[in-house]
Amino acid sequence: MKEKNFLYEFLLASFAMIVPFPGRFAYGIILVIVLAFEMLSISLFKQLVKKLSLDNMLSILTAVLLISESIIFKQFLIMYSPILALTLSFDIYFPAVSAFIISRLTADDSKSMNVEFISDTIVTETKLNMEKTLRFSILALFIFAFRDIFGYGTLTLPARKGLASLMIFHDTEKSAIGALFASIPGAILILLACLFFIMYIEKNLKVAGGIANDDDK
Amino acid sequence: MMMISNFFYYVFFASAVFIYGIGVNRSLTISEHPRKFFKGCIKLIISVSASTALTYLVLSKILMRASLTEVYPFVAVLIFSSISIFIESVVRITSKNSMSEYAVAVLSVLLGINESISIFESVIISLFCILSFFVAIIVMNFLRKKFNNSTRSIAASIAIILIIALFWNVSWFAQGVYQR
Repeated sequence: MKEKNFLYEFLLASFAMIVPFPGRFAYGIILVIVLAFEMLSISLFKQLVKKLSLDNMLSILTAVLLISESIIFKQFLIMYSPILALTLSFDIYFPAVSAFIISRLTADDSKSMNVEFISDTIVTETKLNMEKTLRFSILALFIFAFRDIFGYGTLTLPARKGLASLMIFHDTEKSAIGALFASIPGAILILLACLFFIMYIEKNLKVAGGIANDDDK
Repeated sequence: MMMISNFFYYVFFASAVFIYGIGVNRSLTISEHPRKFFKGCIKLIISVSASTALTYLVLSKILMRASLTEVYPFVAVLIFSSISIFIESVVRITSKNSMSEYAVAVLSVLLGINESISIFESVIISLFCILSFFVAIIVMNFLRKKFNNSTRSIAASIAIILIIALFWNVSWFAQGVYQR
């Protein structure tokens, strides 16, 4: 039950990150890079705080760390491409806040699990966090690619002067139904479809695993 | 007049919850037991308005003169954390998930400062974002009762509400939406 709640909360946090970003693949790539960097730094920072015996200040220190990383990342983005930084001027802070919520969830999750199975080393916790981030990144990139291809007819990559577009659909006489996916309600619909599909697959894998275990017995 | 137009903009037309995405996940979770949440909403309102005002003052008087305006989110988080802890110790309202409202509060503060041109407007915009969060919780609570707590139906109906609310978006009807 705890595991199901964690998945539910994690998926909802992903909801909060994917919806505000514009529907171009390039912004998806930037989101994934920011999130991976922040989740990695959370895992390492937690160990540092434990070593310094500042556990009671972990929440606030993590929040300040994440927002500082967002600011620094935004400066790097301004140096690379000012247009992308301008478009993402406010959205760049969303992963910082969502990563904080996710880190709180992992803290509660690990406390509830048996101590024997949890190693307190940097490598194990980092691996766990990055695995979850990787799963989310694949989902996010798929959603952004879908929105870009069917909403705009292009596949965009981040470039110095904005977006480098690869044309997928050249015919401009097609209907504008794709514009739904480029907009926010369309993003919510695609995200919902993906989340239900993933939850359905995970449920069936668990059922199949349970049946296999019963057969072995 | 500005207040009324800002009210309608941030609460309904470009809802901070549905369009900006601030607190869309929290409102889904909180809508199960909204009464527990509303006890702690006074603290949220006070901390957001105080944080926004103080952050705006620090931004306009110190950061702008030092050409360090990009650092304002860091200042906002520090000020919000201090005020939040101070108010909680003074008012003695305890909620189990107090740090979960951190996301909504901090993003409202950042949005208010990002989109304002005066201290008054920044506080007003932050408070309207919080208000839109409350409106979203009430709407989702109603949807929960209608759909018997099925999260999928609620999320799907949110998408439908948004499609209806954004019907005026003329780009949907434009031909040639793909680039040449």
